[in-house]
Amino acid sequence: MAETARQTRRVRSASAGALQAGVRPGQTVALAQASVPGLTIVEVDPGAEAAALSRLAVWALRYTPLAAPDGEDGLVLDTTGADHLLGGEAALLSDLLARLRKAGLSVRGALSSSRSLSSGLARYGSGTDGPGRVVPQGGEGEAAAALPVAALGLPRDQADALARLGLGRIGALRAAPRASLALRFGPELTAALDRLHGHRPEPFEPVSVPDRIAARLVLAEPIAHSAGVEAALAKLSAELCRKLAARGQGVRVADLRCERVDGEILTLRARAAVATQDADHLCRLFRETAATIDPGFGIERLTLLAVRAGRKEARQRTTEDDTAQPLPPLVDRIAARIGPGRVYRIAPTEADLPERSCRLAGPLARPSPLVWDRGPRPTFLFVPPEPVQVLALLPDRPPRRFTWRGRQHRVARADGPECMLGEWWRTDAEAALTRDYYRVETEEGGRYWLFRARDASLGEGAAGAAEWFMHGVFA
Amino acid sequence: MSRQQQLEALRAGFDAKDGGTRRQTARIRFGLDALDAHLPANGLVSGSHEVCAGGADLPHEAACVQLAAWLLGRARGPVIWALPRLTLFPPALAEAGLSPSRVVFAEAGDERDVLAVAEEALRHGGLAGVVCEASRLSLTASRRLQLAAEAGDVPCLVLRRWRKGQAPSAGTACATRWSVTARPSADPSGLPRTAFRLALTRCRGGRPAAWDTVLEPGREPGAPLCLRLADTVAGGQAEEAAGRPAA
Repeated sequence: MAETARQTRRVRSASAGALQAGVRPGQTVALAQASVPGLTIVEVDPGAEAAALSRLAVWALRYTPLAAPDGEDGLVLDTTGADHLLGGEAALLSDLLARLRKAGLSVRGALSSSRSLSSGLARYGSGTDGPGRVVPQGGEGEAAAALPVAALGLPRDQADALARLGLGRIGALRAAPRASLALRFGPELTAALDRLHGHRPEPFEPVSVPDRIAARLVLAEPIAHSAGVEAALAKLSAELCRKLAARGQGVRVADLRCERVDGEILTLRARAAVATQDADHLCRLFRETAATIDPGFGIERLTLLAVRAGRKEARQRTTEDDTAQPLPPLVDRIAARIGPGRVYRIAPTEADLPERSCRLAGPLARPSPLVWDRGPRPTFLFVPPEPVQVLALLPDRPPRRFTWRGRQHRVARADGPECMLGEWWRTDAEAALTRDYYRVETEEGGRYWLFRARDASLGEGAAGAAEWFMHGVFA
Repeated sequence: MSRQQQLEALRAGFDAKDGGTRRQTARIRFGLDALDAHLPANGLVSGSHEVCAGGADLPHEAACVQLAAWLLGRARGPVIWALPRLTLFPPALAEAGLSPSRVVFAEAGDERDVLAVAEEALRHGGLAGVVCEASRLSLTASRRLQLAAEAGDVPCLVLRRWRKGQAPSAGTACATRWSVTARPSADPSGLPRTAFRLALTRCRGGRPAAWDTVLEPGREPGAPLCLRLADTVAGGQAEEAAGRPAA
């Protein structure tokens, strides 16, 4: 990475490979290129870097509600009260660093009670600390002592002046009399020292999640019963839908966050099959689950958030869906009640074997061009097929009698065989599989689907060893 | 009171008794004169129609499913099929004439949710019909279904199977209740055909009756299945078959 400062192109940072080859940050680009031929130079793009950093800060909100970019190359997270969720401070920090490293970033981190100390340890800490150091409560002074004064974030000339005085480390600076330091270097130095040791608060502006369409309701009088929640929900959905409509969008996934007076946050989620701006519909999706909310001592704040919004598209009607009442709202309401994965259509596949001839499709999927037209199929299919004992007079004829689930049936009529082959490209066992299906009717009037499984690799003559299975029941 | 007024009063009295079934128009017809003519509105009206298995065995349940699919295949529009778990094999519905692209399955897990889903779908309206697989049905639940079906102007087919050797209870509210029993087919071709006894055990504004029927492919190839009386099939062609030596 190269940047141009004061008409000189300098190396800002270098990859591990380049560092090994002798490139040093701060070198001029010309010198680096001369010493390492074939060096790839990438121009620094401050805008893109800042944007990437703030995206990273938004990502870091998964750990704590307070996160922000720190300088040009850092992130600051206030983990107060959030670390126990991941099993403690050390676990949180190592999880954070591991995830960032997995994403291809080289990172260092530190966690302490003061923002400056963490920042200093992460940026100037010695290599022996490891990638992530957690400073225990009360250990700030000790941790800070070994840091160079640059960690205070002072102007460059002040840092140089301190180094000339032999006060290169924070530890030495601390030992020097405070009053004379303030006289010599101004109050900024002592203020920076105080910040480093956590004696002064360092607030920062946390990033907010951008571009989420949400409606909020803060109540002066907390809601203590579910009827109130419904009323609030109606208000919120109307507001959210108005905001969505203004952008020409509809909501696919919405979250309702109810913040209780005791600090508990309850979240409900609703999904719509197609993006919707219909407030009534949105309300109904929540109604089923909203009744389960326990208001406790009262809910004081409600947020309805469009987690996923999409363009609201006008759907072309097909002749088969042609109905005065559109289907999507109904599908949503049913899905809200029984779960999103449990409302579906069944579409044909191109497989021959009956147990593979269906696949699940979305509840509003377009009709498949495929059809099931491979012959009669039973109303109930047994997967896996159930073995039956069969009395057949000739090997290639339908059975005369069979025993299934402990009952003997006499065959009155039969139709078949319908021959099916296994899908040879799947496994060797399937390549040899052959099934001869017979539709048989018993004397009582039950119609069944029996098949004889043959192993084709044994040859035609070995049909005597064939096994019979019950695969389904016809109407 | 004139004769005309007397007639009007009598009609009003009948309407009040049978819930106005006579005035309703049929949403689904069987296409079989003997059957349609027997029903007060010449077909199935919007309301709850219970289709009970005639026995504990699977072939009877299969006949119920096939009948429901065939009936809905004759109506236009989407179908919601509410069931506790998907046990049926969807290609069979396609064979009965109900295209899979018209059916949205709702796998509700338990029967309480099945009923809730069916009610929601019925009240939504605009559907060809709703199928509800519920073997245990209380009087209250059946009334709710019936009211929802009337409100949404949608026929509801309630599939009721046997549980633990017990026939589905009859103490429920419905427009019609059918008992479907799989029968041996009497087709002279010697091939198995979908044949069942269709017994109308309860009918609002009508009388119970029973028919032996067969679901047959239409005359032309590719035509949808049609329902025929078994004895006409057997009667018309049985003599013919009897003349031939047994195959």
